[in-house]
Amino acid sequence: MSRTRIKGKSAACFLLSLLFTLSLAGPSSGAEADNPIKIGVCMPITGPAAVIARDSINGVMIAVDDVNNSGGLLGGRKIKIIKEDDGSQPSQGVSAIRKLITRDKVVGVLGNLNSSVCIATRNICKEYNIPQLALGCSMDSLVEGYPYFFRVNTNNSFQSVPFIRWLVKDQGRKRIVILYENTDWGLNLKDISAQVAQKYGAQILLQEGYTPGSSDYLPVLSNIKKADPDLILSAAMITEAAIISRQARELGIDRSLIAGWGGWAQTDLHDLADGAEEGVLIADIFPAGDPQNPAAKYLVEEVKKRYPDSQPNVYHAQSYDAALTLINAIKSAGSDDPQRIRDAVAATDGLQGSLGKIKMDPQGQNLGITIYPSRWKNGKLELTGVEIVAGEE
Amino acid sequence: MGIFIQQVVNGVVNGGIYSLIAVGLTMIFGVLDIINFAHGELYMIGAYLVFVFAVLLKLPFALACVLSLLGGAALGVILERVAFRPLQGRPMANQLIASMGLSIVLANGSAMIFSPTPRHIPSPFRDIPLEVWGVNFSLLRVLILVISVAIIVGLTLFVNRTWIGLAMRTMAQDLTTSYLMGIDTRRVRQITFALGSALAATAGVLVGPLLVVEPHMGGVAVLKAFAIVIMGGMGNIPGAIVAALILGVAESLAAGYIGAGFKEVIAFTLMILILLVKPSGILSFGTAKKV
Repeated sequence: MSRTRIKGKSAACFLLSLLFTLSLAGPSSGAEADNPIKIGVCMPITGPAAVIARDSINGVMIAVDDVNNSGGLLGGRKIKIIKEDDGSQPSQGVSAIRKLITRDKVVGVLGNLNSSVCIATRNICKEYNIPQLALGCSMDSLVEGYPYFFRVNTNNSFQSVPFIRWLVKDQGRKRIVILYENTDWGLNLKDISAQVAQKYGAQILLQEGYTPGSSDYLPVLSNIKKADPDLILSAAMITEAAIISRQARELGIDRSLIAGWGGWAQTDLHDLADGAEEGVLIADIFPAGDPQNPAAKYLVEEVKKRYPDSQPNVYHAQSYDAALTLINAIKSAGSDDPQRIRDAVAATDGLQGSLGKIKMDPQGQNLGITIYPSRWKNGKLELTGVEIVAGEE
Repeated sequence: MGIFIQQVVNGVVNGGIYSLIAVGLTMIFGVLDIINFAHGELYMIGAYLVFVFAVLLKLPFALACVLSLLGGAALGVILERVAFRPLQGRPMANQLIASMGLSIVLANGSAMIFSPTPRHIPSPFRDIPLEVWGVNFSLLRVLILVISVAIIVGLTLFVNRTWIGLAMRTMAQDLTTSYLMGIDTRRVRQITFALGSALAATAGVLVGPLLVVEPHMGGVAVLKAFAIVIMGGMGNIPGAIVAALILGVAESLAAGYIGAGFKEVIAFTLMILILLVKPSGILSFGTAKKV
């Protein structure tokens, strides 16, 4: 190659790299009068849990819009929500959180939904010292050892131990089958269920696991029918819950034998299960049909007003409460410094949320949870009238 | 014994559905030499079309099913013209990757249009449980099995007894001679693609009311379909049918006796074993076709 050609080439390379570097610098702040407080929301916007993510994000937006419409925080600054999709995949969640923290410079993160994703992303928030409030992730022992990871919603133990205790001790169920999904969340609930049930004298007849996304439960259900249980415990996402209940109906299994968590408690279940869910018991934490606290009442009204296509449910509630907690922390910290926000979150005590009064324990778990066992009847969830305070033995 | 029969019956019904998807796939490969990864999305679109026609437009259910079937066929013809014909004669890898891209576009397109919310299609048959000789199943499932069998029988007659079927078989055997024999290969390509896609769409139409409809349901289905096509011998229609039934029953028995988590493990292990013994497929007699 001749000298001039090399010169031309390197000049071109230099120009290109200059342009590239300049473009990375990003837009200049310029005349931005509003200096928003940026909060990241990382949820499975696509994938099997997309419906839950939608309701959760809507719950967050109710809290955020309320604040923004009433003058903002820290002297008139508005909250800006930046959403990212984790697709219920840990690897995707990690990239998304990293992007939110390093590129968008969020001061707090709301998310994720799936326990397996939280297990991965809490490390990133820990690495960058950014407070993270889960919008789900109910697997036990997620908060221990992670001072930046908080959970306002219930964990699996809080939700299941009192419920199963009630079923076995008070309702006298003794022959139990556990139907669980093969994920961190499902396995955790299975272990807790087996432990508690046996502690109160029940017998575990069968434990059947399945991969989420399956569409054929007939073999498993045939086995369950043969075992003749008086209680089927099931932690499932809404799609699986719908298919399980319909196939149980096909096989002639009485669905009032089923007591479930997760998808079983979702208000959309009736549309998908087409009446097959009739009789199923669930451990509701947010009985939208009978809200007794003012925050719950307000939330139900707002959801009906702003999102008339969805029924107010626990995902709206727990996410609303998580957003409320973060907002409250920013207010009481008086600054947008993530470290001070984190400390303020940890100190939350007595904040009125839609699930109850929010009080953080030293590990980062909210203690203010009550269980309301409810039953599916005629397409709606009906309270049984029982109330069990979680976290009590 | 009762429960064994129950599991086998379940497996046969599933096998029937798998065979609809797999036969379309193997036919397209046999006649056109195209490996279509977007085949599962045609299954998914078949289900969504029923949703559109029966639930959103509130047409009578039977009409909705027929329209969905035709819609699937039409989409197949469009895909052939737009995505596959331009790549004719190119290396197979090009077509494969194009079909993968198509699969992603169609699946995510559906998610954007219909939202990722799973949908339910109420059918006139519901999940009315029946019990015959101690075996439980719903009316809907029986119908699915009957329809699948009818379609497969009809297809076999079509391929073996009509001129077009003969043309398809000729093209599958030797493309150059087909040209020499004056076969309108372009027309046969279109018909094969339309037929194969219609089969996948039909599977979606049948399964939609049985399960829930969501944009990524094609992914799992196509994976099993490929396993079946390979087991049955690529391009071999009777082989695909037999393999589909074997897979359906094996999955059902595995789930029933070993555990639902092992369903896929057993199924794919079976595929590996069959291929070790008969690499060209279960019903193939002759040398394996190099893919």
